[in-house]
Amino acid sequence: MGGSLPAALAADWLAAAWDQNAGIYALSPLVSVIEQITGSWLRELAGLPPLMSFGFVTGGQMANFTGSASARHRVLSNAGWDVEANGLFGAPSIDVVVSEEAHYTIGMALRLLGLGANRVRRIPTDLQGRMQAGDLSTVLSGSSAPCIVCAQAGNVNTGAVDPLREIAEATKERGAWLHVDGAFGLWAAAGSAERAALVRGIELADSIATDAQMAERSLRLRHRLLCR
Amino acid sequence: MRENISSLLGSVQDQASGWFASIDTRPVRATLTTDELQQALGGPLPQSGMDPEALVGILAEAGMRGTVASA
Repeated sequence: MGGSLPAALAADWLAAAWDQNAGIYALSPLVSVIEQITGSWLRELAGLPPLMSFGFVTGGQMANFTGSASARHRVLSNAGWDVEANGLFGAPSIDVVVSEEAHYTIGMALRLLGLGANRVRRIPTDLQGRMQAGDLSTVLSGSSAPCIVCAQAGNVNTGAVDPLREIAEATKERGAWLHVDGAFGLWAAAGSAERAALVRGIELADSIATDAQMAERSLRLRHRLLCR
Repeated sequence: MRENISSLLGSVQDQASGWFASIDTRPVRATLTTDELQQALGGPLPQSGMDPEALVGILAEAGMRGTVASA
């Protein structure tokens, strides 16, 4: 963070001059096609499934919100509840599981989605802030309610990555949704084999939030969400 | 790279000025198709970086007809 690549700065100036409304294709075909292209390149760079959908969002907060909203939709839909039509009143209860070191934007997303920041189950971490996968398995085995697990690739204070493969396996076994906050950690997947090994398992996530500002030093359209 | 930043941003200024100058006479809608935009900007994942001026030139050219402008 801090300072930008010359090409990113120049592109940002052009984007400011164009001032496009990027909400729908008809309002800016250029931006929509750039979104398609960069999404495809990012999936290939990070070794993610080619059918994973991709979108620019306005910030890391909205990336985690959108991933969590997708999770809420899916787990309630699987339970026979249409949350978009019927809201949360009367909906099946959802177990939300995060680590004690989850980024604050996860808690904010849960608040905005009516899932409550204080009713989540918080899994202990090791000294580097990694979720303890064994404790997660214990918590997951204690309930059969619709469930969302939020893991982290890149602790904001230490850089440590949760044991994603173990978490993904436990989450799949439970039939839960796995969202990964990969703001900067996802980019390790595009690095050397040694670095990519640090985030192995992220390709098993149902949704991933990431942030190009940290890795590409780009200015505009820098936050992304990938979702199955 | 940083010593070339003035030149790069000067190029962007020229590109943006040309785009603004076109607004009064260009169609409001974009006149490049999805395939044309994909061809101009996409392709296989690049294996190395490219010159920023060249990159911005490609982007600006696609932007001339790939954007919507009504101001």
